[in-house]
Amino acid sequence: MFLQGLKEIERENRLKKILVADDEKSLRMLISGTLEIGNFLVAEADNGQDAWKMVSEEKPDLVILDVMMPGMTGYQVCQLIKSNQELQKIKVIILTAKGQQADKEAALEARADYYIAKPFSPAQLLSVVEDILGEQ
Amino acid sequence: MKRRIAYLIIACIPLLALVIYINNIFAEIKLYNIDMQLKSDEALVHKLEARILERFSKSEQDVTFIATYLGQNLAEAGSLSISDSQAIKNVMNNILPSFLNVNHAYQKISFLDKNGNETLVATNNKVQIMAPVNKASEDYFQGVIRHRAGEVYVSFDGNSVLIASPIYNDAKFFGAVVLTLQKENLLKELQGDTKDKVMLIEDTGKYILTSNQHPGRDFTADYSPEVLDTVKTSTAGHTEVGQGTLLTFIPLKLDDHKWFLITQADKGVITANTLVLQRQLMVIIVLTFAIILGLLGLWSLSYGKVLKAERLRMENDELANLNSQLRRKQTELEEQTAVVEELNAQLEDESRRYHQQKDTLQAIIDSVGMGLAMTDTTGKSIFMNKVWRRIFRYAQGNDGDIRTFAEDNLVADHLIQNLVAGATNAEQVSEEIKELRDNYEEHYRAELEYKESTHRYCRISSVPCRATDGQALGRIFLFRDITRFKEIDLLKSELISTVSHELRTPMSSIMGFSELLLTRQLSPERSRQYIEVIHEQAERLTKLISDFLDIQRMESGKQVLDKQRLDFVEIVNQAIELFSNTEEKHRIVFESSQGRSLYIHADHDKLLQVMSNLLSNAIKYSPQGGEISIKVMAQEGMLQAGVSDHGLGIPEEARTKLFSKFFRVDNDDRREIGGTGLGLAICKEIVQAHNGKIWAESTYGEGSTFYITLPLAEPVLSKPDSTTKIQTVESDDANNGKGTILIVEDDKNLVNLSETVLKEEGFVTYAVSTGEDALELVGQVDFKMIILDINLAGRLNGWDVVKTLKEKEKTANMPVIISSIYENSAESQSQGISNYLVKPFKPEQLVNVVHKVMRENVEAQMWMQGEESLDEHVQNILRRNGIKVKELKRTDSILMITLDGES
Repeated sequence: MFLQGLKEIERENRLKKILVADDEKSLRMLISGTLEIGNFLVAEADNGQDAWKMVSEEKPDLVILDVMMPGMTGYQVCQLIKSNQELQKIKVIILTAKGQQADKEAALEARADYYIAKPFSPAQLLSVVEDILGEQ
Repeated sequence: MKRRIAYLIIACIPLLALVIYINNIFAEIKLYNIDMQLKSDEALVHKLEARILERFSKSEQDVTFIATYLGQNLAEAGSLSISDSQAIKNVMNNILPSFLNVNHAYQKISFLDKNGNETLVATNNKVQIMAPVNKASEDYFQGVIRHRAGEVYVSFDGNSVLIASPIYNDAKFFGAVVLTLQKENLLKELQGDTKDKVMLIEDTGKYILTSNQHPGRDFTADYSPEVLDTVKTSTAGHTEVGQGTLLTFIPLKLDDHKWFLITQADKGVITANTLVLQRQLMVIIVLTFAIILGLLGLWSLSYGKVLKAERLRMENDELANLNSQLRRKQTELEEQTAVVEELNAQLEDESRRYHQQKDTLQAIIDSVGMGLAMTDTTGKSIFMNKVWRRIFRYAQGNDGDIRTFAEDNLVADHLIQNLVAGATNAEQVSEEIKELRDNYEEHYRAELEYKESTHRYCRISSVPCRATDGQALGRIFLFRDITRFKEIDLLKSELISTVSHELRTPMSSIMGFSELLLTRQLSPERSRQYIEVIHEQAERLTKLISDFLDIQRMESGKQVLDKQRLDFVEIVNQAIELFSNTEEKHRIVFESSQGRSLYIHADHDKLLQVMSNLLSNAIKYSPQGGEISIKVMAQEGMLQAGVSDHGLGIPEEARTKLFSKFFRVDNDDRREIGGTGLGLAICKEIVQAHNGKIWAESTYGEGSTFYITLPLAEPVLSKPDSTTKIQTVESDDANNGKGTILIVEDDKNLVNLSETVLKEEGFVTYAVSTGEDALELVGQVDFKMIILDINLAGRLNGWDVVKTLKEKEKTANMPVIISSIYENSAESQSQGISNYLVKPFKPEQLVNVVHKVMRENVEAQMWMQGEESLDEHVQNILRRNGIKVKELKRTDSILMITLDGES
């Protein structure tokens, strides 16, 4: 019902659709809140499987994926998206608490479009999202 | 043999020479003797000549004197004639006897008248004047008258030697005086002491005188005419007549007579002495020779033996010589040996030190905890340590077969074939190791990953090995199982990432929301919502940090437990209290089978943390609410508490990791449930620190039960009567003790040991050495049990004590532990004593038995006080003895026990 509502809004406003996948409720809240400020349509998923399901169904413009998620990690979801012909155009931002070089590399290996380390600034997130979506 | 003969001959030569020489000497002596004899013979002859001449001269004097005297007297008497002979006779009577008597030299003195008639004869008896009896021979008379007055005529008439001197009266021949010499006396006088024969012969060979007793007719008859000729023709000299007879002769000059004085010496006599001496000497020589010959014979006979003895002696000498040489050598050798021995000792010392060092090095190398092998510069293996062998075996996957490393030519081959084999990167590593053979300087390191039965990581490294002088010795290979390090590494990075994740997540929220609040114009509702999230996340962060520090402290063993005697029931109630107001959809039910206090020795806060964690989990993971039950029971000295919920349950695969740090069951149904993932890990640490256990039983989707067990504290006992009279009693603060135990033992050491051990366990102990003291003390102090020796110092033995105790109501049920050097006897069974310690026993055994007896006693008391049903008690006892009870039924006084299994 929530998604249906979104679809309607999207159809009307042609707003960019963003899926936020994070198992941490507070973070989802933060990201959603931030993106709403930027006038994006935001959908949420709290685990990898749901995220993948929603991506393939809804085909959002951007997916913000947390790495440490139950079910599937953000990298795995990213890989699925990028290796799917139909979905590979979808932009992916990997969002993880691991601020290490290895994670960055893993993100790029998974062909993520961008990498944001936690803790992140909402403004930074917003500008990154706007940049990525603005390229199109 | 020939040699012996030769020796004999050689020995005879000097002997013969000696004999010849001696013979020569004797011949010389003989000649000399003869010569001497001849000289003496000549002397003798001359002496005899002198003597006879002297005789004749005397006789001449006599005759001339007589003639002269007579002549004178005749002249005085005038023409005296023989007929006037009276006058002469008178004259004669006066003088003649004196002549006759002196020396008896004259046989007779006669007077011849002018006619040559013998008219007067005087013999030694008388002087007779007689008528002419005899007419002197014409020859003789003529011979006399030829002589003048004062002259003497010497003649030999064939029998006697006559000496006549004519008497002249007035130049007219008157007559003559004739002296007839006494032949025997003359011979005697002549011969003197001469032993030789003495002869006086005429030139006709007629004997005048001869000392021969039995002379022959004449000299020629006795000797030979040739000898007479020799005597007559020679003036003086010697002649040998016959064997050994020597004649020495000299012509006697007397008037015109040709007389010869001859002596005969027997040469045999002359040489007799010499011959005797010679003979004796010859005998001696011959004897000596015979002796020498005999000796030679003996020597010849014993030649072999002598020779052998000689040889033996020589050999002996040689041996002695050799021996002395040997001894010298030996001495030298001994000196050398001493030196060598000293060197040897030093060497041994060095060797021992070397071996010690080697052993030490080997031990060090063996215990480095990694495989170590060494190859020489050609790649041949020269050394490996124990671990290498072990790893090798491991790598081979063959437990039994340890190949000796020396069989492998090259470490590299060995590695490639055995160690590297099976590794995921075997090919690469083996190539690299092969290349090392040509590159001694290279430091090499590689990791091998094995994924066969177990996932393992090994590291192989190799460095060149050089001596201190820089000479290349070879290469050292180290092989090390680094699986554990890898795991730890992995754990570490996981932990770091988890921690950073757990920290960054709330931080992200806090920072993000605060930034939004700061930078955006937000509705008051939203602002409040955001601030709440910030607060919530900050709290979460705090909790996380404190939990994390807690577990860190616990894991590092720095957890300090403030253990006290606590009532666990009280703790459960306090925990329930914490949640009673916050959760309304859950109902917490607390059941305690004991119903009253259950004491444990524990840290209050920590146990409260455990119980609240468990309760919190139960509440969190039963989001639908429902009953949460807490059950507490005591069992076998342990307290068991279970917290059950009817919530989500735990999936099978998660149960093993349930108590790991930061582990959280990730499932859709519990996504929203917060938590640090440290709660159960903390619970586990705390429970384990209290010697307890924690585990979970769960059915996924139906709920979980978390159990903990903790050891029960012993009930508090009253302090023993301090007024006890017995001096041996040692009193402790009974309030802190688990109970009072009486030790009846006469071995002081065992008493000390037992007391020490039991005090450590929190017991108060009394010790006595006799049964009598024990019984007296039992009456005064309330003992939990008695540890009783059977052989006691006093009158009573252990069994007597037991009997007495059983008889008294107060002490009948007092637990007794028998401590004896004998095996559990029939008597102990008959006395109903099952707690038996056989000396010598270990302190742990004593403690175990004491604890066991204590538990039984507590349970028995509980049962007696009705706090535990008889059935449960029976069941407990059976379980303790390893019998599983399936069912227990009782009807009045009959108890039916159904055992598990076929029994």
